[in-house]
Amino acid sequence: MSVLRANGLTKIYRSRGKMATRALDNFSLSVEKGEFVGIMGPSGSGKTTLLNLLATIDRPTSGTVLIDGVDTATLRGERLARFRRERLGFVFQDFNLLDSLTLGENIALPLVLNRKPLRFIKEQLSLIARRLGIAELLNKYPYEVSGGQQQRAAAARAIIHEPAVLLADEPTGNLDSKSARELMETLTLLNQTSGVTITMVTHDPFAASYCQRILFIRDGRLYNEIRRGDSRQVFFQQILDVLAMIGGGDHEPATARH
Amino acid sequence: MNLQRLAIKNVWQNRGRYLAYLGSAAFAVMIYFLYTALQHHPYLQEGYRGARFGMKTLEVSAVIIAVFTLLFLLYSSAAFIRSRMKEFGLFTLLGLTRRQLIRVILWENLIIGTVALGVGLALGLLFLKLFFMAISVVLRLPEELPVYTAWPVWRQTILVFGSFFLFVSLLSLSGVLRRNIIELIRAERQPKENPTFSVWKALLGSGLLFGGYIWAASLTEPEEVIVAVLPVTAMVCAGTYFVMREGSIALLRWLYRRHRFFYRTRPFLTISQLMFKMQDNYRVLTAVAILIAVILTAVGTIFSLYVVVAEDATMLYPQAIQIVDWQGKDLTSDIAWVQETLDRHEVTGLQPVSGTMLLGTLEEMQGSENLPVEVLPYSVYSSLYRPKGKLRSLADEQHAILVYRAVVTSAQEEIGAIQGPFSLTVGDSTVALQVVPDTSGALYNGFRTEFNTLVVADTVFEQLLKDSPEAVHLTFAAWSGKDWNTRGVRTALEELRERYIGGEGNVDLTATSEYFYDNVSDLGMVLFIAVFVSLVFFAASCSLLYFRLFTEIDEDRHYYSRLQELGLSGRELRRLARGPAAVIFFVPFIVGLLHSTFAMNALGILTGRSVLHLGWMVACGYLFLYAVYFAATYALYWRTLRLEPHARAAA
Repeated sequence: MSVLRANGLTKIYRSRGKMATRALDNFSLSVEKGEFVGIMGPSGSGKTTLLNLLATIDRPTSGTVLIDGVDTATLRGERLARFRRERLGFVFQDFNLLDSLTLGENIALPLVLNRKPLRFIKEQLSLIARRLGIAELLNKYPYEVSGGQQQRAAAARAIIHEPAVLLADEPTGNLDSKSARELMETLTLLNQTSGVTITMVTHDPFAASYCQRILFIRDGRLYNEIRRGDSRQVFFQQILDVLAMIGGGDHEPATARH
Repeated sequence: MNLQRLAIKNVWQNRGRYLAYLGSAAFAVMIYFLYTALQHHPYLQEGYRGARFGMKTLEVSAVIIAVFTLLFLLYSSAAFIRSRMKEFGLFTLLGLTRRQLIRVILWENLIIGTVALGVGLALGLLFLKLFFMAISVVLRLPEELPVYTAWPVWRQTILVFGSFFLFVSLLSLSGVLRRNIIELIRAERQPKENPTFSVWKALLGSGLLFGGYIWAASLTEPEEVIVAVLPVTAMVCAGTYFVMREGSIALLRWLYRRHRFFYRTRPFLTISQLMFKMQDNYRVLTAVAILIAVILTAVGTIFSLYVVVAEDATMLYPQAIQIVDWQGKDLTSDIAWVQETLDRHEVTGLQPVSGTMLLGTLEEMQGSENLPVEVLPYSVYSSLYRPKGKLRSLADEQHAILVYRAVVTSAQEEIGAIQGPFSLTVGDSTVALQVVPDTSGALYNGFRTEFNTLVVADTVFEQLLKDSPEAVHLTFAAWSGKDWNTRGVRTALEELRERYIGGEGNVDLTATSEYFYDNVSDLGMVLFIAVFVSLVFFAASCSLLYFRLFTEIDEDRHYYSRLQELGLSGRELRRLARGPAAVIFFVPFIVGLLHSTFAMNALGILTGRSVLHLGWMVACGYLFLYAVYFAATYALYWRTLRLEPHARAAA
């Protein structure tokens, strides 16, 4: 069963009086429940546009996005916002934790927004914090902990309300290599033990090597698709090969390299 | 792009922040300009009734406005510079030399100062006519003041405010130059400490505050009030400073710990947000609370005095028109003439009452009390109009009513039955009487003597009149009724005054409206000026809150767009953002109102009657203005946040 399905997505940006840019061209994808899918591609290939469309914070020029079988085009305003906060989880490059809340409160935020009872919130919070090994950090504020710890809290926040799919946008972009490894291991853990469906946009081949399947985009179209075998090392090499074919070393430099 | 263009662009980019600053500065310039124009006005230089008092107020007010505006400019420009440190750091990083940076900042300040001065003067010119019209009405000048804008008015305004703007820009320049690049860039990024609660400060603050309150509330004598004003004000100000910080920390912490309450969308986000910003908020909140208290108390006080004096005027001079002949001469021809004059001016609604009164002495039989009185028959007593008069009845001929001339108000205790018996002596005859007091206001206008009035039964009066010598007889006539303030009465009075001004010597003319305007118009002028001064203060305090809201708008935008990503709709966000903004606005008002309530209570003791309702009336007026300002500010804030439905901060 696919929890996330995009059919023939096309997005055209028009800037005043100039030529229209086709950021995404008839792109389709389907993510099965429990899958860990990566999306890679050079700058300007349309990855971010794709993620924005999947995240329902942008609308396609044509094509449909179905999440959990619901056509997101049918939702607007209040109902769309509600759908987003109940069915989607997000992890961003710059963590996007709220500075005014402790890590624990940040993690609990989606449940508070969804008006869950207090006891349920507390149970879920301690459960997930223990699983991600951040239980002792819950009372700290974001500026008191490291980037890696912040990103793990962000991951916990993204899945605490059991969304249909977790969308990650360059989650390792602001992390050092050790933290990046820990975060990817955390995501893998969530994917394997709790069956969380993950769709991740990245241009970091190391992070991508944790995925089960990777879609490569170029110029708004699907360029290639590879699946992981048993070895992550081999998969990592395959990724590098495809990237080399797509456009040499042309992909964006990330802030932290490995 | 040259530096000048850069400066213009900077100002335009930051226009949201500068708007309130500009507005308040321009408003202050306008008021200052109007006052200066009034002060220099040749007509007023020559003087009018009560000119000295009014001019003094005007002068003091102008100085207060100037000093206050300077403080306000200093504070707000410091706040601006702080919020733009990073920008200046970036300029330096990009290779702007020191000299160029100085020029950019000076240009910016020049633009802002010029605009503020220009807008203020333009507004001043626009409202000058209206202002002069209003002041002519308040002063009851015979003709409207012509518009007057001579060079000295312009020169003074431009000089004073121009030098202010110059001074402030030099000061803010030195603030930027003192820091090096990295300090400038980091200025914004210092993480906010979670505020800590200090028991000592909390105790000290509440001790000072409640000490001040209790002191103010326990005052009973006017002399005590005067002694207490300064220490109580100081105590309450200091107390407010501590309590505003510690109190809000304690309250927020308490709410924070109520998990059942806290773990719901709006409290969750609002309380954490307020706690996060506490450190920056409480100073501004304290300053605004004190300013509001000052405004409400000052305007409330003057307004109360105005009302009290106006009320007293009609209580002390209840008869619209009254003539008294000191020698008891027959007034028939005078009465006919006055009536004819009133008819000519189409005065209706006033009842003529006339008769004779006797001078006598009221003595307490056992005591030493010895009171000169004017004696009137009951029939006259019952037919004279008094605004708050309560008619007493006479049980029998042995009773009399003593009407007190002094205004006795509800604050003071009603005087019960007076111990007796008394003896009344008129001429050579003496009567024994029981006396009932009437404290509901004077019976007729005061003339040369201000004695109390003794009302006796008509039969007793007839007897006394017959037995007494002419020397103790006074004749009088009053035109009695509540319509003492009509145009007809006033024009008729001008005519009457011409005949009675010292002319015949013995006839004494008095009128409610004359006494009223003599006493009230000066206060009216003071009230009028005070309201304008208070509006300058008011605009400035509102602007402080406006800055508070706009200084952190970038952070707030970040905050709310994150929430938007997590799936909060625009409507929910709008409601959510209103919470902290409303707290920042209305908490100082409530605190200020509380302070001023205690102050007005003390004023009630000074004036001998409760003026709390008057203070609250004034507060309601300001609350209305305040709410309008909040609504406008919030709308602008929300627009400046620009949370687009499909934009992502990270993208």
